[in-house]
Amino acid sequence: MRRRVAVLTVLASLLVAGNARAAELPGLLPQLLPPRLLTEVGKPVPPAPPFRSGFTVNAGHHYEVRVFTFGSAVILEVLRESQQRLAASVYLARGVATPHRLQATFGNLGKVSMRFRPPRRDDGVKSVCRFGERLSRHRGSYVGHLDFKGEHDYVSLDLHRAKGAIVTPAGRCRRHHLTQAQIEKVLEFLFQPVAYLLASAREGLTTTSLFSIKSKDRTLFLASHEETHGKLAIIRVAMARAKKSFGIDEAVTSARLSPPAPFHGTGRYHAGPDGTTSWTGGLSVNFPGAPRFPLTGPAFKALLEVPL
Amino acid sequence: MAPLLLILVLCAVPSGAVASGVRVPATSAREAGRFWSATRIREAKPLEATAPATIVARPGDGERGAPHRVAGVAARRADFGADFEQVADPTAPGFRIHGAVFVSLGIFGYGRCSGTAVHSGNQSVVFTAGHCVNSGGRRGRWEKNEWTFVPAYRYGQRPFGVFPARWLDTTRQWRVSGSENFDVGAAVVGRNQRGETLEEAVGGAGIAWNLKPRQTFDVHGYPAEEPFDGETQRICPATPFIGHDPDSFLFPGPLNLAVTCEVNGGASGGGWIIEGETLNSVTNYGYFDDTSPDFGAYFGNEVARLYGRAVRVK
Repeated sequence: MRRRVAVLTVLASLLVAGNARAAELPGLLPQLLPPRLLTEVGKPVPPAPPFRSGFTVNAGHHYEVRVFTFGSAVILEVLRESQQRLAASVYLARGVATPHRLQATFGNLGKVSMRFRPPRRDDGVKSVCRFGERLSRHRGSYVGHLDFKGEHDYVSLDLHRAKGAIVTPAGRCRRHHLTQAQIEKVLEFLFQPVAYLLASAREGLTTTSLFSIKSKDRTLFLASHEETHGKLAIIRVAMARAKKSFGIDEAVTSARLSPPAPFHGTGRYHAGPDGTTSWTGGLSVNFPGAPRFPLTGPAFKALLEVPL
Repeated sequence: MAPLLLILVLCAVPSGAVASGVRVPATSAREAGRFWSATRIREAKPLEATAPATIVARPGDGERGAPHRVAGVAARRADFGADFEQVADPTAPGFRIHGAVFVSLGIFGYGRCSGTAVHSGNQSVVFTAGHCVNSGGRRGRWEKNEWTFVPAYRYGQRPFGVFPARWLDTTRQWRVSGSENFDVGAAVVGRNQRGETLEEAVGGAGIAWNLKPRQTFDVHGYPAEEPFDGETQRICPATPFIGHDPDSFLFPGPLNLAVTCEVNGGASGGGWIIEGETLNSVTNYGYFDDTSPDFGAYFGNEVARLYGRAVRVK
């Protein structure tokens, strides 16, 4: 028995999304995750140097599309982000995921087949320091064809060239991306919550979860939905932060969630004297490609925890 | 018929399959039977695939070759009724090929898994999960101390005796990368206390690789965590393929298989049988927060090579 890796990876990346722009690396996940994070869960270090390669393009309607390799998968990520909120749909497909080649079919949504081409005048290798790991970045262009239409055409791409990069680890470095104060703030937020509420619904391999964590001065709302369609996996995530929006009564028998956009509506938790719980209301979330996605209903099991 | 079958089997095994794996110090069935006392069996904790190790792309890992099947010599089991039931008589044909695996972990106590006897020329091959024979990755540890297969195990009973391992191996990719998409292991076992080979005692399932994932499986195993106790064989009969785990996309190798079956720790390595007699996957892992999907490795070329190495062990 073990924990989920894919959705945890996406959620972990969202937790530190505020620092995403700083490193200028392609792809949300590669930007945010320490290269060895997944191996640190308890297993040996990779035998070969990992690489990440890909590119980012603007797709209009405030969507950013990132296509990159992650392990054996080619990932196409459609992201909409503002200061306190983020929503992304991440499409995982198997294909050719090598440093110089991205090739995969995303079900009936589209496909990518692109090759990395270094610039004529090489501007050299640039490096950045992230989580104590030095990453070398080789800039260039991806040429080929990307054809992608999101569900109900919420995003549409047809391009033949994009600027991108190949990123490889290049040893350790001293500067850490987060300061000690930032790390302490994150740890305090995660491990000294005032309350948290988890609601989840599962059917087969399809899982929907809502996680709200309330600290002294703010609340973080995270929603995720995981599904597979043959050889395509889709992970949708949404995150918002707000100062209020999470009310709990003193007896811890009821709670009310009204998170800001991309969420809509209100979710109501109620615990009966016999221990039964209910999670009702009209709370939904706007995932890219899945608008007004319901986050309440009888299929959900809810858990409210308020530390004494 | 049997020699012809064996020739077909050996011809079908992909070329390049060479003897590797690890030889296990010779232990007699009598010694193994004495070692695995009821107390030690009770103390045995499920071996787990703790986490995937490597996210490194390897072109061609997902390649699928031509489908192939090796027929079994076990009689077909009787039809089974309800879902997720305890097997009433694990000594019955079709069930006796499945058993519990016990292994000593030295100062860390004892571990347990499940396994399935598979037909082979040496009549002694057991298939299980890779993490039941090697902890995976380049620093993986061979679980070779007192590795013993007990077919049809039930409440301390060993109706067909115990079969100590002589040789263990796993897929090359499980050893190199620890990718769960290759979490398959095999053992060649010695004779039981009566001097019988494994196949003489219980028979052996057939095995097939490179089939389409969309199969209907009978999932066998010995789950040992609450609400189970690992003392009886369990089965999720006729459970269809429901898809691939999203995690599986990130790791090298063919996408794994998911079925609905609430097995838990101890069921690792339990056989997934198709058409009543053919092994086509083994249980690898489930999730803490949702125990209903059970995940098993796809049997592709790497498994064919592993089988090829196992059948060559004298």
